[in-house]
Amino acid sequence: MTATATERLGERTPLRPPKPAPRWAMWAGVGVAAIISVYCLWAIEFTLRPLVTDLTNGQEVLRQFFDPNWAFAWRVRDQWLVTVEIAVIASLIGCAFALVLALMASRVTAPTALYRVMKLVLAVQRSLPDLAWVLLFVTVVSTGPLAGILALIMFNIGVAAKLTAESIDAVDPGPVEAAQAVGANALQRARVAVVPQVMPSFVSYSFYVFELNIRASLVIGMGGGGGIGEVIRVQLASFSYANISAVVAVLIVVVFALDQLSRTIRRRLI
Amino acid sequence: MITFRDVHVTYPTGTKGLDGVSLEISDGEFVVVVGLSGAGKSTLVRAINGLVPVTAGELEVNGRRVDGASKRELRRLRGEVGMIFQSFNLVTRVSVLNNVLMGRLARTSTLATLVGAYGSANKDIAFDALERVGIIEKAYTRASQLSGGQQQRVAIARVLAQQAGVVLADEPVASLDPPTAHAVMSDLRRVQRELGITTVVNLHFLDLARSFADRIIGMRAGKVVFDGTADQADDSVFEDIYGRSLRADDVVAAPPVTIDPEDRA
Repeated sequence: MTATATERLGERTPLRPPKPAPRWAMWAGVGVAAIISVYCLWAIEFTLRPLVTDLTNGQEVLRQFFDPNWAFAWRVRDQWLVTVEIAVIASLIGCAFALVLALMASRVTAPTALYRVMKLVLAVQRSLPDLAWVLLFVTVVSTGPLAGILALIMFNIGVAAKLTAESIDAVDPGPVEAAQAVGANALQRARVAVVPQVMPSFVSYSFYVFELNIRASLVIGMGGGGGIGEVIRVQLASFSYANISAVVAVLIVVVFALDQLSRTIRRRLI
Repeated sequence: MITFRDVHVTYPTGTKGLDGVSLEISDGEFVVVVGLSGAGKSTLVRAINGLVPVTAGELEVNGRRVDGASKRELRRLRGEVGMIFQSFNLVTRVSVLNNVLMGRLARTSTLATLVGAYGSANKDIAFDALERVGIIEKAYTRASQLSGGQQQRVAIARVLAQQAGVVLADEPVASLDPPTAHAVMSDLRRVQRELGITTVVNLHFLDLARSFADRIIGMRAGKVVFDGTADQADDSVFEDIYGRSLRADDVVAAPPVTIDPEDRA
């Protein structure tokens, strides 16, 4: 048995196609990447020396950091709530808009001209990071939770609309064709044949966006958008590192817990 | 009444779907279209409700011109022409009832559709349709939980809810096992007779075609190569349509009564 198998394999060897030669383009790419990296290191005068020589400078800061003031984290409990509230409101409103925009940004539910324009608009809108949105809205409505909510809504629309539009692109075309064949118009087709198909993904993306919002709360608050990030900004200004480390430690726990909760819910949806 | 006058369909890729088809299908007829895949059966059926645009010639359905119709006119026409698909094309995540209510979309306002308010009159029509195909008890079940045969019955109910005078079926039983294929074809034929619906069905199984059709239309390379009664369509006719000798997979199987599950093992 084994002998014949080996024999057969042996016979087949000449039939193997020759291994294609490595592509010169790949090696050229590796070379270019290496040159760019070396140039960048040289241009910013990269060195790891401060890590060793200046290590003692941060000693006092580090000492405070490792002695967290837990009472402070509890004293600012209202701000924790504000952070979660900002995330909930921004997720709800942002994702509601995102669903409508996603329907306008897919070839399945929108005419060619519209979906091309919408895909472009969403790409441009997405290119602004969350911190940029906060700074923008702080100048418009001044600091506070409203700026944070508006910033996160914009950020959420970018993320949720892109993901949902991609899910819409991938729906089973059969029901859409059936809706077309019963004489439904474009809006009716979207509502009856497309939305039910993308609902599980859409709700899942909404929870994902909520996770991102909790995680972004630090950046949002630092930028002036209210919530726990705001607390950190104030404490940072007064060099109260013991307070900051307590808040950061709790933030890690809160983000992790809400992440897990949201992930569990998402897993049940699909 | 469906009238084709020298209808041509050329796809954007240059493929000829229909090549000068002239046909008249009378009210209440049950027509089966046969032919190999790529012969133009699907194109013929889909041209009737405008899913595939006619590139030359004239096509009329119940006095309405399909070629050159505006989007609005096409939607109105499609409201009166039902369609059944090979893969059922149900929205599997919603209830059977909601799938059947899809048949009412052409007569439901966009606003009512968006909020899901179909109204009791439409629901009555949907329940009647489900009763007619014998699965009314599944009305509130998710469509995904139904078997293939049941799903195709829901699709038939969806067509009945349209109160359509014309029904098109594109390989309605090709995804079903032989006994279920027979049962679904029987259901389709029964409601067609009860309601006098003009029906055009694509099939590639010649035994099903013979046992259910009033009239058989044979197609090859986009042309009608046979048009006659089921009795006239003997094996030599089918060999002519197919352009080859018949094979075992050209028939679906014996009807369900002769199949005993014990014997199949």
